[in-house]
Amino acid sequence: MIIALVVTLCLLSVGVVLLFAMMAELWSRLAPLAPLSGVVTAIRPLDEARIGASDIDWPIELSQVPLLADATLVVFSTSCATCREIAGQLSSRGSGGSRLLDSLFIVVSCPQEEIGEDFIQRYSLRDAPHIVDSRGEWTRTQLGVQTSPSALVFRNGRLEKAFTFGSAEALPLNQSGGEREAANDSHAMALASGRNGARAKEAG
Amino acid sequence: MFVPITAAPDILAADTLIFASVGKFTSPSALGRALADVLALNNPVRAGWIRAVAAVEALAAATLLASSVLAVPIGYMLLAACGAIFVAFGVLGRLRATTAPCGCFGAQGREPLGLSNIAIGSAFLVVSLLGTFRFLTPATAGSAATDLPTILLMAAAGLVALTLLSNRALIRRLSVRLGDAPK
Repeated sequence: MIIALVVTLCLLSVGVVLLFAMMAELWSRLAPLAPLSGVVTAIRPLDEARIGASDIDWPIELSQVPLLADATLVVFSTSCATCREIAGQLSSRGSGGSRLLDSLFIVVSCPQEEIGEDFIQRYSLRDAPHIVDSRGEWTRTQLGVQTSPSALVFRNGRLEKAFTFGSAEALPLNQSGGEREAANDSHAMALASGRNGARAKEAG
Repeated sequence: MFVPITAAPDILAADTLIFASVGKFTSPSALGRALADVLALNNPVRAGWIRAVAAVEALAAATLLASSVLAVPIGYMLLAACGAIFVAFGVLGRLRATTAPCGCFGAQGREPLGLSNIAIGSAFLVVSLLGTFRFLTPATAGSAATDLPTILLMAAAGLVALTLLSNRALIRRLSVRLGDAPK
């Protein structure tokens, strides 16, 4: 009887440790992306991306990326709730008759092409050059990225930086020269502080 | 139900190992990145390897707690091995001046590999040496067999206390958030 009680208590204590370990893991994943108040503009660098790569096999829909001085490739997944929120934000930005965003390119990772096309249709993202990436194969093999949502910034076809983010406000898009410089500076600071483990925030 | 005071270091060491083992098993990626940083590897060490280390730590903790009923001081041997490895990686972390979070306790704590690992590893080595000496002393060998339930109870209580203490910052943050929620 005593042995059974002792074993039960030991298992319970290990359960407490396990719960706290899982909570800490959950917190470490969510904290940079989802502050409970204010605009969510936190970004976190993606170490898995092939930073510096330029030997990328571009599909025809994204063939403009290596030709532009600045281009941002946003990777969405159809199974990610944050991706749906951000797609909605981008969609509302692009409404009003003009082309969605000049330097924005979109990759939708999905288990089946129909689901990806439905995502594009639902969030009115057809204005932006896009591909539907079945099972994320192209994104993984060409860019080394397996995280969504993520943004990859290219300069003259070279992957300059990659980060995951929680709001369309974090994207360096649709800005004049001066605004873009300022955004780049604040992104560099945010990415650096993100690498040091601090919560990276951007003023938006 | 009597447990000698000399069992306290063993219990503390076992609790630390269980805490580290569960943390690594739950969140292996941080340690994988930290090891890649100090060993100058191109890619993070795979989660499978980190979980294998966690399994060894759990085995060391279990055998350490059960050392009073075992014929061989295998718990102290494994503890010494873990201590030596902790010290080695702590020294390596200091030499490389790494800043990547250690991940020794999973996502709990963001200290890089360094002095804390050297301190914990050294403590493990001392505990294993003292334990092996006690184990080999004929007067005490095998005498604590009936104390195993008490040792396990103390270990369980110590483990919960260690977990709450290590996560006090997280508990405080969550308490504040919960208190703020109705506003």
